[in-house]
This record gives sequence, structure tokens and C-alpha cells, in this order.
Amino acid sequence: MKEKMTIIFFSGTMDKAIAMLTLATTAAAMDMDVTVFFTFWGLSFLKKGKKYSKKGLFQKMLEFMIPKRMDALPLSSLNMLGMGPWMMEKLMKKTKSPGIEELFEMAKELKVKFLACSTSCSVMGVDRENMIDEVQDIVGAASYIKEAREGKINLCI
Amino acid sequence: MDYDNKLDCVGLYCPLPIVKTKLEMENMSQGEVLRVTADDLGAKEDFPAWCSETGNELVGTEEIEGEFVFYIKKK
Repeated sequence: MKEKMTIIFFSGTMDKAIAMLTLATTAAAMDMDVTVFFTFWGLSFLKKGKKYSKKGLFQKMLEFMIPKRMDALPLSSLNMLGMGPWMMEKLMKKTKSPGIEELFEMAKELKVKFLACSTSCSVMGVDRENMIDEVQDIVGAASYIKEAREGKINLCI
Repeated sequence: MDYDNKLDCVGLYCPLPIVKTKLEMENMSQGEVLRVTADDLGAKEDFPAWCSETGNELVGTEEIEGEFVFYIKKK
């Protein structure tokens, strides 16, 4: 049986998403089964656009404030109202280092498993229809712990 | 050194050389040798580590003008 690696993606920023995808794809390329569990701000990575219907006032406000999908994540420092990510993208294109979309395609090809945290989904009002198709399931903490218990490497990013 | 297939990863940054090597080797048969060229600074240590972790055999390495060449035999 293959060894397992799990990652909790908590932060929902561009730089940390790149770190998460780099480690997930590399571990999968090293013959590990990789599961990424998206929770809290990390959920932004899985969203496809903004959706305001069927939401309470605070959920609508939250939806307005948080990124709409994985290519709109802020930087964890030097964000400078969006200037930071814009410059970082230019820099990465110039140096030809892999960006989020390219790494995500690789992760899919390597069969990395993507799970969304059920509580975060409920609190933020993110439902299955507003998430990318690659999300395998919406699960709770017990499902994550079950995977992590079998995990040889477990990270929180 | 003889090889059956080759992969050019020059200009690619970590983790792409390793990931592309993994995907390329999925289409090869047991015992075939892949020649990979890479210039990522981490490649020199990463390829031997990847080989020992996955059980594929690193049968040869070369360094030509800042580019690393790896010959990997599929397990």
C-alpha cells in the first residue's frame, strides 16, 4: 500500500497555495497518496466565482470580502491592495516558475485528492455548486483525522 | 550512455522537473532508461532523492555547462 501525506490548507493566500501545491505534487510524484483538506480561508481556493443567493447578510459580506477563486488569492505579506500578487505573477512568468494553474493541473494529473471542510462550507455559505468539480467530497474533521492517522507526513499550511 | 527516451527540463523550476519525470516514466516500460536534463539548482540533490524514494535506479549522472543530466532506469 502507498504511503500517505495529508495537508490542511487553511490560509487561502497565493504564496501558501503555491507551497501547498509544490509539496502535494512532489509527494504524489514520489508515489505517495496525497489528500488536501481545505478549511476556513483555504476554501477560497476551491470556489468558482462569487455567489450571493441563498445567503444571510454576514455571509454576503464575507463573500464580498474574500477571493472569488484560486487565481484571485492575495499574498500573505506585501499584498499592497493587489499590487503584490500582480507583481508576483509578472515575476513568476518572467522567471518561468510554475504558477497556481499549472501546479493545479499537475496535481489533478497525479490524482491528488481535494476535500472541503463541511463546517467552513456551512459557515461561509459555500455549497457544492459553487466549488470546482475537482472537490471530491465535503467532509468533517473525523474524516481528516482518519486520513492523517494513516499519514506519514501531515502538514498545515 | 544509451537511453530509450529523453526529457528536457531545462528552464523549469522545482517541482516541475520531478513531476514531469514521474509522468513521463509512467508511459515507459520496466528496464527502459530515461535521460533527463535539468538546470534547477535543486535538481542535483532532488533526482537522487526521488530515485531512492521511488525505487527507480539512477544509473548515471553528468554535468554539462551548468546543466545536470540524469539517466534513470524504470523499476
